[in-house]
Amino acid sequence: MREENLVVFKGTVDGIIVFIDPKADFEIVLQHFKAKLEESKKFFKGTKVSVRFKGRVLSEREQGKLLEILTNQESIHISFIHPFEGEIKEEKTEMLWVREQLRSFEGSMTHFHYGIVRSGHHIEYRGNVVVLGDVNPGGLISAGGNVIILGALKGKVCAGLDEKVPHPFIVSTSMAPIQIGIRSVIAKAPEGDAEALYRKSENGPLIAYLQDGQIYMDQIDLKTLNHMLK
Amino acid sequence: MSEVIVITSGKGGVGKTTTSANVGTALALQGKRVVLIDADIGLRNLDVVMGLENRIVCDLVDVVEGRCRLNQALIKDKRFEGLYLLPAAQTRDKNAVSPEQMKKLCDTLREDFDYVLVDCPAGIEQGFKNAIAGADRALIVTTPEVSAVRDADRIIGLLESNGVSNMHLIINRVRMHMVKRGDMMAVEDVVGFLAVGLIGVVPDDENIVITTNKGEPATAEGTSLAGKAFRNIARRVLGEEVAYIDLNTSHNIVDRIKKVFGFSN
Repeated sequence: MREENLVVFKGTVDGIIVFIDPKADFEIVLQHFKAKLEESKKFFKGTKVSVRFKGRVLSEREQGKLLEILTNQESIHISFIHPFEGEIKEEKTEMLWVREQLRSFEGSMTHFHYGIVRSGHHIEYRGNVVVLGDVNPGGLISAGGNVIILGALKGKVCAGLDEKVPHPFIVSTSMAPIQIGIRSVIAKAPEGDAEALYRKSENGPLIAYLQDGQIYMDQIDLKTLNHMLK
Repeated sequence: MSEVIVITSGKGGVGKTTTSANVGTALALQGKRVVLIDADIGLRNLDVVMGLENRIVCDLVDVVEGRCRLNQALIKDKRFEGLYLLPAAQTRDKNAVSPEQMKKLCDTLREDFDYVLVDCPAGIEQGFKNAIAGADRALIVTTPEVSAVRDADRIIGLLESNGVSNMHLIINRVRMHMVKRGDMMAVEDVVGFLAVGLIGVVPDDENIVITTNKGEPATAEGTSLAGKAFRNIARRVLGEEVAYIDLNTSHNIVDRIKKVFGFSN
């Protein structure tokens, strides 16, 4: 590559793009940059432009050098310097990572509700929900994770709405729900079986879980857990 | 210390207005200064139940909009010492009044009266919001029917979230023979479901229909069982401990004879 092409200025609608040779020695690049700026003095006279660097991933020190030259020159008026390329990429992945961490953290958090969830009351939470009291008909709980009700479930509960939560479940000391939802599956108590369900929960709390796209409800014992975690 | 009490239910037709009229009258009979506010603007009934319809000149909306003074709109019930009615407007709707205006009105009335009873309209919209705006406590009226109990549950939730935490339950129109047969929710079932303190159980009573149509509160005359139940509620509102009337007492002559001979369960 010829020496004069180590740094190329290219005008666009919204400013100039400075293409920098990706391989050349950086000190030489700097000299070329300075020279080019001087050359274009007349061309850019009196106008304000934005500057974007392209073509080379720059280290922090290198970025500093370029900015230093830009700030110490009087050839062109600069309105705005675009972020360096490599920088943007890094920022994006970092933000994604933070968001990811936050999501999994929220997924493992638990919201406690003290008292009865009455008709018209909607508890919505990204993590798990524990209710110390009944859930009355007309009350609604939707949770990203699991739901535990230390009381009678007579309303509607949706659990496992966050796909990342493994084996979502709903536990209640007394099961008489109007509807129950896990992931995207919604089930209602079979007709006339509400009483049988109620009798079942007299022997202890019941657990509702999803297996093979179907919601099962049973006593919490080893057999049930094995089936649930299968 | 005066109290603003809202009488509410959510569902219509469970006996809010009847309860307001009877408890209000019973409180007045106990020597308290009582004002009944009809918050059911556009569908007023309390004046009819109280038999004061023909004395309405100004109403609640007139007071709020400054067309008359408060004591011009207050109707004094001449039968009961210390009982007043502030009627609702019939030609307007619930949006004619704002919760702030209602609160101000209740606070003004509070200075002159021992008890301000607000008869709340059915529903959970503007009329409900107006009625509960100035309330210190609430009496929730329900009947032992699933739909009425569901609505009461919703109302309790709304009262809680609006900062009215002092509330009690009145179960109206209980038919003991149906409860015994298992065809009607028992008082304990309703209380267990709603988890709110009970302040009164009122039996289903034909006398209520008769007295309501006549415009004479049932509490006023001593005979009816429902009237007695309402009097007891008033005493409990005053803080007295009153035993619940035995609704199992049958008026059937055969049952009475059985009881005398010890056959009754």
